[in-house]
Amino acid sequence: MTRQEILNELKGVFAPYTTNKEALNNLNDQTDLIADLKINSANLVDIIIDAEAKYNIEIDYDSADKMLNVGSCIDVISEKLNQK
Amino acid sequence: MNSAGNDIVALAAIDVARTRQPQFYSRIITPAEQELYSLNFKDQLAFEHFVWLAWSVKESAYKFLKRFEPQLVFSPTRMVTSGLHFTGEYFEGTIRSGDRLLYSQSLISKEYIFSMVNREKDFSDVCFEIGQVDSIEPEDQSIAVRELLVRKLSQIYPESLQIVKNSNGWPVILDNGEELPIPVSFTHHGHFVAYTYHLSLTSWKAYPHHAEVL
Repeated sequence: MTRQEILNELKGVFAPYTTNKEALNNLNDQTDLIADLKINSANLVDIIIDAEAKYNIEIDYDSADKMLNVGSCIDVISEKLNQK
Repeated sequence: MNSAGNDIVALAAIDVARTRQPQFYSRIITPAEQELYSLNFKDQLAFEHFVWLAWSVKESAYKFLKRFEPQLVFSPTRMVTSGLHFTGEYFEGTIRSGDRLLYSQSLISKEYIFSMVNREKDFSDVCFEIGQVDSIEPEDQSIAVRELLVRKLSQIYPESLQIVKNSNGWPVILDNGEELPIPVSFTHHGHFVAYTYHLSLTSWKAYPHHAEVL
């Protein structure tokens, strides 16, 4: 999968947890989950678990800690997909 | 420099079934904390409430410590609570992150879990207020919680106060453009918002009439 494909799919992963549709429609690597998408930190674990289910991957705790912006989410998902 | 850290979890907004899944809660609480629940809290607290209690303490500690360690990453299972007990009013305990130890104080109501942390065991200089808002839009909640704090502090500071984010990204209170030595933390979740501020010795000396208001 390309980074762009993952980015497009991530919109669906983030959608249930953000009301900021404008930021969601304009996702880029720098988009911060909390500062830009206004996702409540209490939903960060939901996003990790939803991403694990969507891509059938396991995201270890160290990798999960890095998933704070879209670019790092794509990095982690790509890495785990490549390890499959 | 002092700091502040708090967190609120609206119980209507949590996913109970998901919280009870090991895949979920094991990212928040450690095996030792799971054991602590089984031994001490099983008859007192629903498991999902214990998980979110631990979360709110850890998130509060993260917010408090981030001001000293800008590179700090929030990693709930690397932060460990201990000595958690119920005083009859609050859940109190300690929270350790690396070599830093903080004290925690939490309130659990039917609607929310609210936590805050402090360097000292004594929370008498730590002030907080919890409010309810109709809107769940983060922007509206941010405005609402700041208004709540300004209303409270206007009893102490007659001048108009401003709350802004400083260059490091945390909120500071300005009195006529000058930063007050009062660290503050804001939190929101679901329909609840809360602020916490700490009165340091400096602020007590500068504003002794705090005592009249608190």
